[in-house]
Amino acid sequence: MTASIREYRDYLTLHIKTALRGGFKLLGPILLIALYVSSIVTISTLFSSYSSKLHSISGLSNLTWINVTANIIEGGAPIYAHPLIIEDKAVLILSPTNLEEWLRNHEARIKPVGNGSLILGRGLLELVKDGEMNLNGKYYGVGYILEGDMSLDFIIIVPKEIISQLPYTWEVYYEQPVNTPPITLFIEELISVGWRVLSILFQIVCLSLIISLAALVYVESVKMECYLKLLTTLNISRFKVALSLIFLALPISFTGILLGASLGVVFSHIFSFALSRVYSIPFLKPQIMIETIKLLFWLFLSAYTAVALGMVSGYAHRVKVS
Amino acid sequence: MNARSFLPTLIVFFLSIILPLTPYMINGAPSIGDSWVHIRYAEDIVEAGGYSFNEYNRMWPLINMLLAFLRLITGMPTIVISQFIPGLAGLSSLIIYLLLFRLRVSFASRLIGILAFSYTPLYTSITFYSATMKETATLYPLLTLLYITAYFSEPKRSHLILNLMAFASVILGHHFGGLVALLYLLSTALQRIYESLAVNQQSGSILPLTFIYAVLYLAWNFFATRIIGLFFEITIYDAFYIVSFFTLLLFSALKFGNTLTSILTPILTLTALAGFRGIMHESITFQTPITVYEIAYYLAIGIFAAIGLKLSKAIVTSLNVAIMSIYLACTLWDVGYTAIVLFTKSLHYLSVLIAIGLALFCEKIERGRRYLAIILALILILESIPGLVQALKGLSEYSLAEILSLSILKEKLPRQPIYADTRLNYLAKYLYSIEVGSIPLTGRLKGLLLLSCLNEIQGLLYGYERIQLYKVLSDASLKEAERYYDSLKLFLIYLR
Repeated sequence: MTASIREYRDYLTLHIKTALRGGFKLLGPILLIALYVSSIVTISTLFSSYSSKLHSISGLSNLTWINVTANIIEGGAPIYAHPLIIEDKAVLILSPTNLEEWLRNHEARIKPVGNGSLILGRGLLELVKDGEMNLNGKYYGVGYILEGDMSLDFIIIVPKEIISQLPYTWEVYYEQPVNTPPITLFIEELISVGWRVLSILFQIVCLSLIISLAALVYVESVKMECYLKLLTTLNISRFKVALSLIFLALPISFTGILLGASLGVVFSHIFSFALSRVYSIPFLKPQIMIETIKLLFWLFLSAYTAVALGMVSGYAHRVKVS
Repeated sequence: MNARSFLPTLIVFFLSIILPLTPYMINGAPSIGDSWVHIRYAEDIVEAGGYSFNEYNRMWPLINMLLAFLRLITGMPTIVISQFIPGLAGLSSLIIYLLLFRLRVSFASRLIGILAFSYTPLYTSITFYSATMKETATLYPLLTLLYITAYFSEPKRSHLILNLMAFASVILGHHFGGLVALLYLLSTALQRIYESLAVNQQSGSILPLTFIYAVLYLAWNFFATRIIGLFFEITIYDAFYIVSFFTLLLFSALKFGNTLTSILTPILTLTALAGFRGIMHESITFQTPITVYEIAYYLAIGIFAAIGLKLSKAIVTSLNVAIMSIYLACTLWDVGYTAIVLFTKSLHYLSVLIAIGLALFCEKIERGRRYLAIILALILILESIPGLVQALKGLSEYSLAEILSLSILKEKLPRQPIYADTRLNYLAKYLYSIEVGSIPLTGRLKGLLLLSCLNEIQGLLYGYERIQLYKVLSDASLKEAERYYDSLKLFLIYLR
């Protein structure tokens, strides 16, 4: 068994050496895989990063025409934000450094109701018990009710002193009133249908990747006439050649996936940067989430199957002809 | 070396070594706030006779150990000893000379390469060369590592010892420099494997060397971050981000030769530097807006270096891939504060590539028009001097007058909290153990405020960013404030 593995390793090295020295072409399949994979990685990383932060951004900016950005704005006061689910309610906890400016920007006002320091949106009043509200296991007194547009109903405003007591990862944003409509609603719409579109797109890509890649590799394998003749003269059995070609599919598909994922990461970063510049939405550094890694695994399997199938059937065709 | 070439060599080396020492010679004090940290730690080591790995600047002990060692041997004041580090950075030109010698570059072009390395168009490098900080101390071992792994990687015991010594210096020197070395070694190893498959060349012992380095580097940095806590938030995505650029550039170098990387490197670098100078750097140090003349100058340097690098060999291609991956990843990392810090750090290592590129360019055109090439290169290098002078005026520089003023003030300090910007904070805290807080940016400023006359001209330094003094303190408040101490260079005011 050991000898056999060594034998196949030698065949694999021989295939790679021959390919690198111009015996047959591997660049085409690798670039094709990279092209498909990069498009999927770009879209999925952009979607996952925007959808994870969207609640905060839209919560801050869908009332008035306000440009919300993660970049420091001259004269803009930072706003700390953290989205949270409390008793099945999507709540946004905010801590604007300049509360007056924030209220003015959002055309809101506050009405005193108690002695505490929390400011609550109207939709959260049922969570108040004895004038206090439970945040992460600790009770804080409610002082004011936030009055304004409906979008402010599920917002909790906490003073600066409480921020350090709450163990949340605070996102920092800056606001600036602008004369152009916010893009966030459009993105929210896009993302709500996006995952479904992405899932369909992913299936189409996998299918077309398998078909086109198998066809391309088949054509390339058929062209490997001289090399296959050489293998025949070396008295290597057809089965061994076919099996070694199946092994060869592994490095080819892995290189393609690695290259595609790299391209995808770079593209998603550039797109995010372009979106932030063109539409004045925050620049969100795209993140590879577990969903993208799962997609990459399935893409690898698809590419591997296609390359292996294409190579073996191309070889079978060549053997049949000769 | 004959008598004719001795004098030019001596002059060029002298100029290279003297440049990083100019801030100390002009101002009488080390450059960059980090210098005071390492001076303090070196003195602590000498006094305590031991070392503790307990915080960020102690976890990469090369510089602290080196300063303490020299302090013990020479017995000179640590401030003077601290200038050994910029001197070592200047001496790095020797490795550049050897690298160019191995690349079979002519004598005149080698000297041009050294000058281009020291008097680099990347003018921010002067603050890097002249500082007493971890990165600067790692430059010499890093270049040595690049040189010996390229030319002494045959499987011999003496070579292995040499390589391990260089590895240890870089790993214990600085994590960023270590990352450059890791990517360089990976790039070289993968290139050698590719060549061994494609043209049946022996890959030598670079693969085991790379493996040893990678294990040591990752283990040390894992240990360091575990002990001191994560000093910088790095996710798996961030690591993958650098790997992405590395993969793309390496693939392009292997498959299509070094055309893309060589063209991309200097042109992207220098155009980005122009943008950096024009937009971002405005907020960090006292800089004037970029002019059309400067953009043309950067482009000219970029194009000439690109032509030179196009002619380069495998070692330069590996270096190109490594440095360019880090540079691109840092440039596109994010927007804002982190991006500025990382971009500045990644620029430090690019001067090596620009120097090699310019030397190779001179070598290319020298054959026909020797004097023309030398004059052209010299003009380009000399054009960088105004940029260097401007960098020397930045908020990172200290003066002897400030040190002396603070030593007098130390004896008269009232028992009240004192505030200062990052620059004076470092000086007071590490040189004289004076507890100084950061100036609060919100609310009304009250209490004792330590200011330098440089703060009035250039503003206050907050971390890496500059804030104009009037944004924190109005002119009226400054005039009304009671001057508790005034030495014309440094003053302590009381704000009611």
